[in-house]
Amino acid sequence: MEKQVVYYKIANLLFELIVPKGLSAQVLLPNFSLFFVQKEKETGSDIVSRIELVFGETDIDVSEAKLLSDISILWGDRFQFYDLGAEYLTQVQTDQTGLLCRMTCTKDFSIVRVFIPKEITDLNMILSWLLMIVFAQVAVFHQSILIHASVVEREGEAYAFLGQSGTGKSTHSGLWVENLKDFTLLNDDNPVIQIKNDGKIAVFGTPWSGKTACYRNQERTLKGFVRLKQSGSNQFYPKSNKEALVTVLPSCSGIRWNKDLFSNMIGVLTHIVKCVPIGELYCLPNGEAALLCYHKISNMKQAKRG
Amino acid sequence: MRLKNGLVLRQLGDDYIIVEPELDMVDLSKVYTMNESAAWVWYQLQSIEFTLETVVNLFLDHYNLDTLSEEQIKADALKLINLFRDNGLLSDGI
Repeated sequence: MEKQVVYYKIANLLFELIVPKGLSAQVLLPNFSLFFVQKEKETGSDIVSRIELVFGETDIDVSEAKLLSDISILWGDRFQFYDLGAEYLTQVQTDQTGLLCRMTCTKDFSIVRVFIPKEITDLNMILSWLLMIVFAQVAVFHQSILIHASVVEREGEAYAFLGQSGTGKSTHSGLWVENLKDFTLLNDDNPVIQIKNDGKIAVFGTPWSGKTACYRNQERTLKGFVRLKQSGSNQFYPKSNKEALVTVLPSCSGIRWNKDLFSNMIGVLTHIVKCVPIGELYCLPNGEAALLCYHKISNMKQAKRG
Repeated sequence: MRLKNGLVLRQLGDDYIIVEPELDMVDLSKVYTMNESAAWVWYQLQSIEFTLETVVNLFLDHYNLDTLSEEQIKADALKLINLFRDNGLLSDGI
């Protein structure tokens, strides 16, 4: 089958996607359209991962493979992640047909093959999700971490809200946009944080934003992390050192079964925790929570400078 | 004995920490904290095969311990090694 190659650049990381010819990448991945780049113009960037999409099933014997995880909030019991020895295998039954969408990745996630049965109709959802899995792992080898957070920004500066699903991250972002002048949403679910060459910490919008279609291809300076906890009143607690790391770690998307990968992620996170103010907000879903949060976290920033 | 392979001790402000991923399916990681003295010993023991005597000698070389008896120093060294071992930070028991 003839192939075509498209390139995407997310958080300054260049990805190569190989798809069967005649297939429109724009139609396949509309959420990626703002991240599309021409390879010829990206001479300064190395490709961090090559992903080939194949339509059809593949035979992989998992009887000898080690099951690493079958827990997924998104897919329930229709997801498995295996160690095949030289590669990882991710497989998902996306619908009731029982057909398996599969992805094999080298252990550094730099070479990836995705097999999607021809009968699968909602290609965007599965492909977008698989690409997010790849991105989240590759990122840690490039001074970056994909995090689970909702991020707002104003005048080049951004704040990330962390919390378990259902805590109210999106709601809290909405309260900042409503109550604090000129703040807008940068990403609602999976932004990327990155250590820049000058040591500063940036946050990037991505093609993944949960239920909110907010796919901004933009970079901002990260000025704070706040972990949200639902409560009957609004209280802010600053965190530092070990506590700060523990505040952010559960929201980082790298897998834990690969020592090299995990250690890289902790290294990146340790640096970020030293540079960015971090706090915890016990909060109600109201405007006062947003105002208190902004006041406290931006004052921490001043304290760190002083 | 040796320190368990792949554990990295990192400094965050006044805290010295090791983050170890839990490898079963539940997404939990363990974070160990050490004080400055324990961290110093950890750094000295990295990538070497060591015994109780190694740790005792580290103490003797690094600190002025004239007022302590040999038994006391030995007991403190053993206490530290046991702490490492009880928390699963050694690759091999004694």
